Amino acid sequence: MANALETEGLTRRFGGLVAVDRVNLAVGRGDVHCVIGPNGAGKTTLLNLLSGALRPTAGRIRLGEKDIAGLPVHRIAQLGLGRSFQRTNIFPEFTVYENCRLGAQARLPSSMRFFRNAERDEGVRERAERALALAGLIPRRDTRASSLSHGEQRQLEIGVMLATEPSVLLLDEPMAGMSADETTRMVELLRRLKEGHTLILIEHDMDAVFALADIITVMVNGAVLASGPPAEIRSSQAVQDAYLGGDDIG
Amino acid sequence: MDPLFVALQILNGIQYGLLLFLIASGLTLVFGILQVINLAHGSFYMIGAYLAFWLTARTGSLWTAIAIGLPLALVLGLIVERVMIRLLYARDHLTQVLLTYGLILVFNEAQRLLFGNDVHGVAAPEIFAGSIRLTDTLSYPIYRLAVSGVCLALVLVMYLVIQKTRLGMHIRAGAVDRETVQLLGINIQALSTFVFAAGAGLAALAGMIAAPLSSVYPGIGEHILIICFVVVVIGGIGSIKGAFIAALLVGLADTFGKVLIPEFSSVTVYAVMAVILLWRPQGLFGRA
Amino acid sequence: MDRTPRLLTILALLAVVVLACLPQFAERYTIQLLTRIMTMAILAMSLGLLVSGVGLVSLGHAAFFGLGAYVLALASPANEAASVWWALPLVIGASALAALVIGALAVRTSGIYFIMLTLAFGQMLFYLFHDAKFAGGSDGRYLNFRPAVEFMGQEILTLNDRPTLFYVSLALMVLTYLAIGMMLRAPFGRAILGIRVNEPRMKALGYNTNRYKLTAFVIAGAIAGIAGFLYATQYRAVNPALFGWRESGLVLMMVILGGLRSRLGPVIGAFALVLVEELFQALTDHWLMAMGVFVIVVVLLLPDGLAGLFDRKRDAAEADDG
Repeated sequence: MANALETEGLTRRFGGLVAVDRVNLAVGRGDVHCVIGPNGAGKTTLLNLLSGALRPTAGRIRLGEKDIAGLPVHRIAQLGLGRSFQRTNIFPEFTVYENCRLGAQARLPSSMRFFRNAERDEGVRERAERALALAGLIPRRDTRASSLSHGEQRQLEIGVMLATEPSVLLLDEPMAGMSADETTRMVELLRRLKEGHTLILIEHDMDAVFALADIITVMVNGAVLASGPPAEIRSSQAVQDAYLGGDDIG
Repeated sequence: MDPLFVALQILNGIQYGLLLFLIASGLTLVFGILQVINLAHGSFYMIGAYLAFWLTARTGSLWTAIAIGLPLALVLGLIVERVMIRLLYARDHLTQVLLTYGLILVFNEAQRLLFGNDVHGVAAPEIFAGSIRLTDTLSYPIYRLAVSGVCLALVLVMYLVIQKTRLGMHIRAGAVDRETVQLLGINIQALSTFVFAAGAGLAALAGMIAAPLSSVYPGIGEHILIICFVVVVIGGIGSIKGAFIAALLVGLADTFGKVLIPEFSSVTVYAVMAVILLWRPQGLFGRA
Repeated sequence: MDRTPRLLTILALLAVVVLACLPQFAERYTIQLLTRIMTMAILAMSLGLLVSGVGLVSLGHAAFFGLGAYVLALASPANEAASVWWALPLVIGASALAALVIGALAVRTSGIYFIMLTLAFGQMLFYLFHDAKFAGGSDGRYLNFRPAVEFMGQEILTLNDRPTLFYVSLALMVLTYLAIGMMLRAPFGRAILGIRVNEPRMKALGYNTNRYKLTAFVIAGAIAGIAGFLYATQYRAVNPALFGWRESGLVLMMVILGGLRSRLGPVIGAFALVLVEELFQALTDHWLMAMGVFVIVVVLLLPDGLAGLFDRKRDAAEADDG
């Protein structure tokens, strides 16, 4: 069975700067694959390349069997790749439920429907409800998104994406700016998500990373330094020197 | 077609393009640095033209008119920036569009109040009057050459200021990334005021020197404004280089359009814009 | 997301009832004026769909209005009335087609570029109809006969009758309002509202946002064409100024004057702006300056437009949200 996502020699240059340097990635189906590394290592750029927000300068990206390098963002999303953002990127004016419904509606073959009320589509409603439940936001469903706490907004950030029922999830620092309580809740959420999804996660919170990850990839200066199961990474001298030793863990 | 005729048209096109650049450069910098859409930019051109008319009629000389009129226009630019434009910095585009639209209405009506609806001519300065005889049938007005010369000189000055001075560096940086420039401690407010006033002054000056060529009448401000919008769109917002190349392109397209397809000449410029945008939606040198 | 306060909706319903009774006792001039206002309201609603719905500020929208008017004037035979059954679809089709062509180029851009592009294309159409001899040049053209509404050879409505035209305009205005409301509640409307609030996220969710923006642009253009049809029918004359930036700016002004948060905004704005214009014209020759000052004052002091004045409760609620 093919990997959920693979890259081959993925490179992105900005003028003279090589932000992502010949990255080879193999993400197995159902894995939680964490990408870690110091700031500026190219992690978010990598995610942008995978989701289509940036075009690769060189290299290939395969989602399952399909080559997706160079496809537009919305096409890649339709193929089953979901993306959540580091800076909360929801729809502040809408309620939590409406946020999720927008995601759910994206799964319709087309939204070019002008006559029937959007609420009447059962399929859309169900997907939205499921996403709400997975994200743990049912009690807040009728609250305006702008009124949520930071942690709840991060949950919604993931919930909106979940409503599109992606198979591969790209998560950019889901725990950014969270308190200890919020972080615990988020780790639980991500654990729940493991079932039936493949997760590719950028995170700085080392406790969370080692608790969740099946595979960890360490990036430094745009290139992959090491990649393997947590135990292997934790004991790797090269990784200690480049990253874990220097920075505080978690 | 007669090669001499073509050459003259090219000269005309370049002259028009250079004039457009004077106005468009201010517009593109205001967009880039101030992030403000100023529909009333064309009004400064009109103000320059009417100042030229009025002052030349009173003093008898276009030189004097420019000498008095230009500082007046600069002061007006400063006032407008302080009183109106400042209010727009933080606002959304819709607000900016409507506010400056209201300004146009006010300026236009003020012009009508002061000068009426007639078309007025302005005499070119004595030394530039007359034409150079080229052949039996063709001659070229000296004043046009003078205008091109003045525009070129101004372009050169602008180039030197923007490329070779610190002020110019700040302007270039500000046009690309306003926030970072602020973080670097540069007084973006002073820079903005300067750029706006300078842009207004250039537009007014363009209006003054163009007055003998195209007469002075209500509505010239808006007409030239929209052409300059096309220039800025083609060249790319915030790019002086883009504005320069686009201005020449538009000047030539319009001139040759008038010659080749007189009935639909006005459309030529927009057709060029459409073609370029099909290829590059952000303009020739704009940032995507 | 329609934030029309209850009070406002009730007032609007009352207004429709009043309007419906008006032709019984109003003066000829009043009926004419109101017919024009309702035509403008339709135009303003179409622009409102773009501005409040999708978030696209178009400064060239009047071009589709002008195109609709001109198509009726040009396509109508010189010595008899055109039949509304083919004339109206033709007008709608032409405006929609123009919007498709212009929109295809314009929606790929955003922000300042979009505003300038739409302005430029509007002006292009102005010059096209101003310069072209077949269109009558700067004087424009006349419509010799108003469109005929016939069924099986019998005239069922005569648009030459002032009250009839009034009622037709009223009906179209109400229909447009309801139709836009229906669209906004449907998946299409949800999508474009999402695009207004956060377009990059919509793309990341899988929406081909350009396609939705273009569709909205075409729909808005088509509705503007209908307004143009009404205008040409009422005045039996069209001229190039209908395409220009001045007209486009006025329509934009109606949208913001009424308020961006309410679907009734454009309608309120149309009524208010035309009435203010009439007032100023009666007071002074230099009414344009008064209009300019009015525009500036409204934009500065009424960020939520006139509809926003009814919405004190919402403001208080939002203050709590923080």
